[in-house]
Amino acid sequence: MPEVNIQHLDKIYDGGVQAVYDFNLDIADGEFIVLVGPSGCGKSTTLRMVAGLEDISAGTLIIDGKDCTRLPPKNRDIAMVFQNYALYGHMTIYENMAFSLTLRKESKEIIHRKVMAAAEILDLKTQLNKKPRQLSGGQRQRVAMGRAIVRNPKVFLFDEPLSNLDAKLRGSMRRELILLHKKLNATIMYVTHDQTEALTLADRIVCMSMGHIQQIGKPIELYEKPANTFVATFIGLPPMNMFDGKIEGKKFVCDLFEYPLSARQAEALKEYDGKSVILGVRPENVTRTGKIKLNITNNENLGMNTLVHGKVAGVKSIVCKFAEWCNYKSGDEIDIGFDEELMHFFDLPVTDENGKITEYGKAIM
Amino acid sequence: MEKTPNQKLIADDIMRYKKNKWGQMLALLGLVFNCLYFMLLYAYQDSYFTRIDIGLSIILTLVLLLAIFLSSESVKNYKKAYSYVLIVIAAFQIFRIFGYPLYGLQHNLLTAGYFGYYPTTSEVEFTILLVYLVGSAACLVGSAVISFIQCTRLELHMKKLAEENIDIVQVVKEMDEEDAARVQAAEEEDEVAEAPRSEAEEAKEEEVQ
Repeated sequence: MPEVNIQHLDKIYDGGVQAVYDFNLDIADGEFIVLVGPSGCGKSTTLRMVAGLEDISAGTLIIDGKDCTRLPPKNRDIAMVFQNYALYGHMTIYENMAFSLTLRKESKEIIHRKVMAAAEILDLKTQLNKKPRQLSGGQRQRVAMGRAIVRNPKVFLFDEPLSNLDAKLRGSMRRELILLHKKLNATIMYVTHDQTEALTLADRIVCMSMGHIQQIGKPIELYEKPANTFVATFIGLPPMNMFDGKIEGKKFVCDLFEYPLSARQAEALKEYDGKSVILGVRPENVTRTGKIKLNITNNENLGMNTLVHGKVAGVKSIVCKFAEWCNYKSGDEIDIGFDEELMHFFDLPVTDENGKITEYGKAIM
Repeated sequence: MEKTPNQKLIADDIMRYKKNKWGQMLALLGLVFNCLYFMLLYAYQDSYFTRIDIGLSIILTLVLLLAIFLSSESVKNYKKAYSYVLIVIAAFQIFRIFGYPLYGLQHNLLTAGYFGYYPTTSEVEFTILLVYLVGSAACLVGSAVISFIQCTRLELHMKKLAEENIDIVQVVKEMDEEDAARVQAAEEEDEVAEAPRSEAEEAKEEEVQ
């Protein structure tokens, strides 16, 4: 039985604005699920509906076999960690961590045992007598996690918990979160807009846009086999380069260049002969052998690799990621090609009468 | 049910992270009684106090209030020495009865209006002053005793942790394992109780009946 079972979840606000459409997800016991997407895609709303902080407009939420759709938050046996920590400034760290158990009228012995165990896991034993203002951002976030851990909930919900931290601290906290998940073997739903967090933390990623789930899968699946153009451009840094064009026999043809297809690609795309498609190539899959001319505009050496920005045929901006240290100058022209095994082809997106995308272009291969 | 050694250890360990609130609250209650005494003291109708004594009396009271407050904050943080300070202040509160209140009683000066009550003799107000001072002293003594006991407990606990090299987290883990074993044993017992009886057992039972 899945630990959390979300079926056909919708969120419609009073004004009629729909934030989440038909959200379906089964989360297994001990699974780390990351909801990722741009701001306003409905990921936090979904999490808040699971937490009980937002009413569920339609659909059902089942946690460990119990229908929690209309249950108040306190009866759902979940714990949520917020971006802004939400610690009580006048209480010590010990009191902050013990607070929820005190409200439940647990015995002092049980509270102490749980707080000490959580403090050990989070390496907060020496901080217990301090006030939150005496701790760093990372330590405060650990306290917020400790407050969740002591409750021993069925599901942990994290709402962008690392967004307030600087880049270095975020990296170390990510590693700590992975260790924490291994130690607790807890079921976790984690919301972030940071794809690095999503890729490094998740057992499975739920990629969302415009209130819809775009793809659910393991991080590597989302990276290697994006379901549509949105996932292809959202996951991966720098984003995938996209070229609008069409299939003509054994060639991909666009305004800027023609690119020969391999036999495998031609076979897979034969139904699309003469039709418009989108070609997607990740920056790391651009090679420096080929017939496409790239006018370089910028060369960014990152140590291990180089990001080369340029324009194909002087029009279409793309970015390439080369494993070597490069020293191109603005205005240089190089020949590029694509790793044929790692080229992605997508349908054209569906748009409404105003030109707004209603459905992203689905992956063909 | 008697506590196990581990439970006692945990009970003492809680003091490392919890303040001595009872000690603090009692000391503050003693301070409140002192304030009430202070208010009534200046309701003397006689002009006995309209001398330099009034200034000295105010300073003395302010010093006392400050001393009680600081002591309450210190005992809250388990500073044992302040238990003795509270005892000294409590003794002084008792000693004060024999100062102005007794003088007022002897000279029938305690006849000020007090919450709409206008006494003709001093006995009532003297009794109220007595209650305030004794109440204050009692609270301070209570605070001192509780704080002394708690501080001693904490000192001994800290000494034990250091001497026996005890890791509380390890103790917590042991207790969790004990609890888990207890739960498992109880579940097994239940299973045995609910297990279907064999035909031989049922036949034997019928025979007995």
